[in-house]
Amino acid sequence: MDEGERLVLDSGLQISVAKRRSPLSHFQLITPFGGDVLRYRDAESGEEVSLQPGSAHYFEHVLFIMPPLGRDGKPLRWRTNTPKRMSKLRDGLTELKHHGAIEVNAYTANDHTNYFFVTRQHPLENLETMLDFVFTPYLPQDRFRKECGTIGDEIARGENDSMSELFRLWDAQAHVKHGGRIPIIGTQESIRRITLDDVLSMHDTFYRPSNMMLIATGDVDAKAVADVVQRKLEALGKADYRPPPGEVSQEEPRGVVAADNFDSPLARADVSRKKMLGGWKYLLEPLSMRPEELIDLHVAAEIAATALYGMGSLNREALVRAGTDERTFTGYNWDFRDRGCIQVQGDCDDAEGFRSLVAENAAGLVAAGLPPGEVEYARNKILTDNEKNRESLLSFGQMLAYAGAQTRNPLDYFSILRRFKDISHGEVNALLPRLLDTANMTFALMVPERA
Amino acid sequence: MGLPLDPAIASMLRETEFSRQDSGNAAVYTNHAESSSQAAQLSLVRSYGSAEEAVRAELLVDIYLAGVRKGCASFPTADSLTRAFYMARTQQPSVHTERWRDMLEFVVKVHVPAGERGVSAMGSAMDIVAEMMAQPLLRDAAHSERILELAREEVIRSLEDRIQHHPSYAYSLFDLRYFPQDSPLSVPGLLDLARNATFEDIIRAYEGVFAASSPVLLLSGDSPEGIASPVLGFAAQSAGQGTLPPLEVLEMGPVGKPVAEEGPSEQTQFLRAYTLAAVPGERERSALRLVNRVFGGGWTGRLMQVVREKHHLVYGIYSGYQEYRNMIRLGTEHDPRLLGRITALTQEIAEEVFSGKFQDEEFRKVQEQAIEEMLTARGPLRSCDQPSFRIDEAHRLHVKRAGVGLAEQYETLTSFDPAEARHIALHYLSPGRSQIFTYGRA
Repeated sequence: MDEGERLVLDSGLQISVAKRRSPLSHFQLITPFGGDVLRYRDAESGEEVSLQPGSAHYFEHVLFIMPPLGRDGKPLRWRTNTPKRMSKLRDGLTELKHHGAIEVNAYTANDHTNYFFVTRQHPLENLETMLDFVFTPYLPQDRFRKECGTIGDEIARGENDSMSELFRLWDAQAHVKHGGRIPIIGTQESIRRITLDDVLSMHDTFYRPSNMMLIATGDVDAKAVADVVQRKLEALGKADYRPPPGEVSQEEPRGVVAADNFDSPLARADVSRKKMLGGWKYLLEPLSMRPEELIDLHVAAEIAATALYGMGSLNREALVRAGTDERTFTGYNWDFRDRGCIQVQGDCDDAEGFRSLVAENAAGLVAAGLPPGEVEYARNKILTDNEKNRESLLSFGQMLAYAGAQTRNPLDYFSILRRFKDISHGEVNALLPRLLDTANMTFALMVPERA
Repeated sequence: MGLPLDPAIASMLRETEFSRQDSGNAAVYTNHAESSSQAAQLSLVRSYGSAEEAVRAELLVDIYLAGVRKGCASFPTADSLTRAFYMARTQQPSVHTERWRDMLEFVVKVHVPAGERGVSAMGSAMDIVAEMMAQPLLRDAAHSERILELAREEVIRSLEDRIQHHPSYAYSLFDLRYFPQDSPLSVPGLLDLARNATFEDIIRAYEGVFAASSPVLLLSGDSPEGIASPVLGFAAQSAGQGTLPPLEVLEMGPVGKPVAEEGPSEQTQFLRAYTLAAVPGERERSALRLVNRVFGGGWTGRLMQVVREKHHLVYGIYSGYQEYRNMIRLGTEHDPRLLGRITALTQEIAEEVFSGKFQDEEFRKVQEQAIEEMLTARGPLRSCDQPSFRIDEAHRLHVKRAGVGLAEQYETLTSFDPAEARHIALHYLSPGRSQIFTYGRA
């Protein structure tokens, strides 16, 4: 497999290019500023700065705004990028769609925000447009404030979905200080506290080129991409290096806020059965760990989750025999820059019984280790699913984006893939105590309101 | 004046076409694709005479298939079955049903890698499928009662989950009320059916699918002939070729006052259907697809640009042209206090667009977007060079028999000028002919 190439411009912007045979190309511009980031160290002053929950997501919504065009068809230039009001605004999404892009969007994850498009036509011109709106915040004050309405509805939609609420509850029980305890999107209250000044400061901090990654996949040429980006950064006055913000440890302690909520479960009128979400958080230390160690933890966590709870594992089969609900019982892991979790979920009538079974089973496997055959099965399943997912250019690009958010190098995706192939069962087992620490385990129960 | 034809697009779309060469009792459609994967889809399709019969049969076959997935003689649990596929380095094939109107389709869908590795994997995967279908524990007297109850409960839970997902439940309530000829049974009705079905009912329904079905095999990849034979062996169980009927257009009937269904959704689920004055032909349908894009068929449509981007009332609002239900239907969910504003705004936008009040440039933009998007399909985004994209298109064309091929659609789409689209919109669409349907707290 051609693994691509990586360039770093003078500004510090990383460009990773993975050429694939496709009629399309896919570009992603990523900042490691996600929902989990509630504190950072200012690069210039060295001081630690706190952020309102939902800041990264709010920013993702408003960064598509572009200034109006003048009579000559060129963007108008104003003394300020934050006028009180402005009409005939453009938005980057529409600009790209009107210039042949097929898929255009952005999302905020826990550990990164990603602006992306897929196109067949005008790939480099469209890339310039995306660089324009991502690197130049144009935020009329009235428009900025109105975005609260849209995001408020997005929050309400999430609250109207029972499973989303169960995941939110688990995160709040599991994390003591980490930003992961609060939803990426923030709350109705926190988004109203985000000011325009905050957002401009965040842009200057998190959207400087030295802090960002561009990933290009599909029908792309690395040199042509780098040339376009360099020229655009020069035009925007962003070609010189300015140091990125400092990552700060979230100082998340071992242990959880609450081991369970069984005394006061989440009660909802729109669920008909008791549902449990349980599992373990685990912590990574990207500031002190070598990239190889980070990769090994990510790889071991996915193999462990698959071997423990993935469909087809002998352990899952044993848990079903022991009484978990075969129809709904499942497990998986989530992996971010400085934390992750292994979770199980399923319908359950007996919350205490469910927890005991899962906890005792995991403790036994931590003590005895996963058998080699189970690591082999998990390896096969992960690699087979990964091969299928790579078929879609969008999925392939997203896998590079998530790898990049975790290690700061998107092409580490290929190192992760190689590690899935050669990590030994002994190496996986050596990391199990860190991944399945009983002190980091919590269970969240949701019940029908009338029960 | 239409847009100029782009030979590159025309060529890419022609490469998605399949050629037919029947084998035994099956209609076999083959496409050559240079890709990292290959795909095969076997569809066994039969007509039940009425949608209600087909819905009942589908539910019973779903229970049967849930039981089959619980294991067979060699792989006696659901986990051991899944494990067998992955150890053969393939994902578990999807064995499921699909239904439209009175037609029920039993589907076996397999993805394998390209080349010889894929041919070998297809053989292994279909060996396991054949065994799980031939000797399921569900049919073993020692296990059948337990497996049947597990399977029944699984289907009951999936039906209950449908009620709990508010946006999709709102759509199913709308369909039940306005398209009983396609959606004749409510979810509670299906729950009753699932609870009361006997073992004999379920076996009879499963065997009934094969008894009178027409097999259609779709193959796309770099060695389609190589992956065909293991699937053809399975198709031999079915009755044989019949002619599949083309999909006909249903009509909703007269619209009336707003209808509000009560349920536990805190947000109001808002649906609004604009019915067409008559059933359009293929060319008019293409124009209406474009008019729907102007109205609300994506981010750049008026609904999103006005209701979200101008007024910031909702996170998302989209419309879709339901060609085989002869309507344009929009959907959103919102704060219940906004019902009046959403009602008024959607109506204002409909009044403008349906009366042809859109700029030539706006129309040209959606026309160009529609053409580009023909090259891809979502969920996740796939491009027209991929076998999975091509199989889905072939399924629409040769199994559902809906519409025309992509190359022909492309030629039609490019041929419109804005004036013709306006004329068609005026003829078929009226803002006064709408039905509002909401679901949520009273």
